[in-house]
Amino acid sequence: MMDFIDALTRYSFLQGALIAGLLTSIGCGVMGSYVVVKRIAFIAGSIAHSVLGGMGIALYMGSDPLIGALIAAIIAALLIGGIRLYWKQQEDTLIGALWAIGMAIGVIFIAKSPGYQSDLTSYLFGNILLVPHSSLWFMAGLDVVLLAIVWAYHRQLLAVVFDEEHARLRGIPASFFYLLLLVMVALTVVLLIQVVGLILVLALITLPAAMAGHYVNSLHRMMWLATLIGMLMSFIGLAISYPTDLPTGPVIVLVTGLAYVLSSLWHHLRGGNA
Amino acid sequence: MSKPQITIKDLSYRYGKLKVLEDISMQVNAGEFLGIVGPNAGGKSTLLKLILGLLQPVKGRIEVFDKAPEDSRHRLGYVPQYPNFSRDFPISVEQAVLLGRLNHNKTGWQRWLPGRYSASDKAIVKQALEEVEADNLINRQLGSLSGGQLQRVLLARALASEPEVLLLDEPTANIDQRLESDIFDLLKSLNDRMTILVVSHDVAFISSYVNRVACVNQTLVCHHTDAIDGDVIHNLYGEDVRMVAHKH
Repeated sequence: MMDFIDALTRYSFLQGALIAGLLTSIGCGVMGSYVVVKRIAFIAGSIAHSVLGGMGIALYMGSDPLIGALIAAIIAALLIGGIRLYWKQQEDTLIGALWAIGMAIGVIFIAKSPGYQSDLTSYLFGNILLVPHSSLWFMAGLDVVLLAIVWAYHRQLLAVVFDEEHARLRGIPASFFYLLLLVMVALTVVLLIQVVGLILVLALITLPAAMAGHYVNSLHRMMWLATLIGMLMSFIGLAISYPTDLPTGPVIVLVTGLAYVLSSLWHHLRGGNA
Repeated sequence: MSKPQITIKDLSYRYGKLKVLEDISMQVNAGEFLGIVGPNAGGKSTLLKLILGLLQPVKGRIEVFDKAPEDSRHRLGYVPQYPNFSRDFPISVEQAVLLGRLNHNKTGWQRWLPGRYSASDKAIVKQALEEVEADNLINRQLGSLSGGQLQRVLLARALASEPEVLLLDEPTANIDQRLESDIFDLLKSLNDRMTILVVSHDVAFISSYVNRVACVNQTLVCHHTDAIDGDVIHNLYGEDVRMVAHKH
């Protein structure tokens, strides 16, 4: 552990990785809490995977894949929101279809991209050690946007995730806030892609918040605790992966998963529902 | 005579091809305590949702305070039969009831404003909880409440929005029979300051509280409570239902 801290003070790529981990933990803690209490993990998963389509097209056109991811994530969120609002009967089938179709488009465009063949696995599993400094600013910016919206509209968002019908009866533009929520989840997905990749995104969105849910009883405390848990898991994951030379994203996910299992057991033994 | 608060004219509704309501017309006046009764799947809950503007009629029209239901729904309070949230949602009773204060008296663009709850919002929530005798639950988790306690909290949430008309869907279906008359005594006292529409399957029980009964089974027939007898119930349910005689 001391070696890791020593290395952290000397290597800027490790510092960048740690900052990336901490910045994503904020988005995950806040938006993950909404995802967990609203039970839309499947929707978050679909957004995450279909984002590959946007990345592939951006790469093919020679643009920044992150911008492609951002656009694709927002389109996917609005499509899924529209499906839920207007095609409720087919919701799970259509969301599952979007999941696969988005990935298929991505794989085809990446295969046909001219010139330098980008490494598909870094999109799928992330590479926190190669996060450039410009991306850190991008991540910080996304965090600020997410926090500002949540701070301003926490009552409306709570109303919509708690009881949509009641929110509508109170005159809240419930469909708008539901779509806004999905777009914010989409931004979180983009935030996470560079760190853990789009396959593993789902774990870091849901697990810290679900763990926090074992110990607190209000949504805003859940957000705080989930953020802190996410930060701790990023730090531990990085500290384990550095000396062992294991891929960092998957190590962070495994550490988080293990912590979640232990927390669930502990919670269960104390008499709660796991 | 003042204008009716709710006017329904030639209203029909279907779920897909299934007819639920057929050519319903009725009016609800200020201060009424109206019971809506009928067999299961007879369209009672659907009628409430149409009045709230949660469903759109296939035919006919509904006016609430002379406007479309969507434009008047902030003046209505609604207590659903089943809660729409999961019981383990991390929220306290106070936070849940405060949601009833959201957008109070706000219309149009004001609904888009961010903001916080005021001290008077919190005072009104406390008062609503006192009125339903649930003020001791204010700091409890919603998930830790019994069925009867939850029903009171949902009623407090509706009262917190200071409605002029209160709509309740089977408010006593999920609770102990012993508590049924407690809830209806409470509604009776609320009726002094607001119109009440309550859906129930138990015509005998509610007829001692309400002043008019609407019998809904695809079609609708209204009765004053004195006119309810075996024939009415027989026609509605198509079989004899045991009924307790009572005098008004």
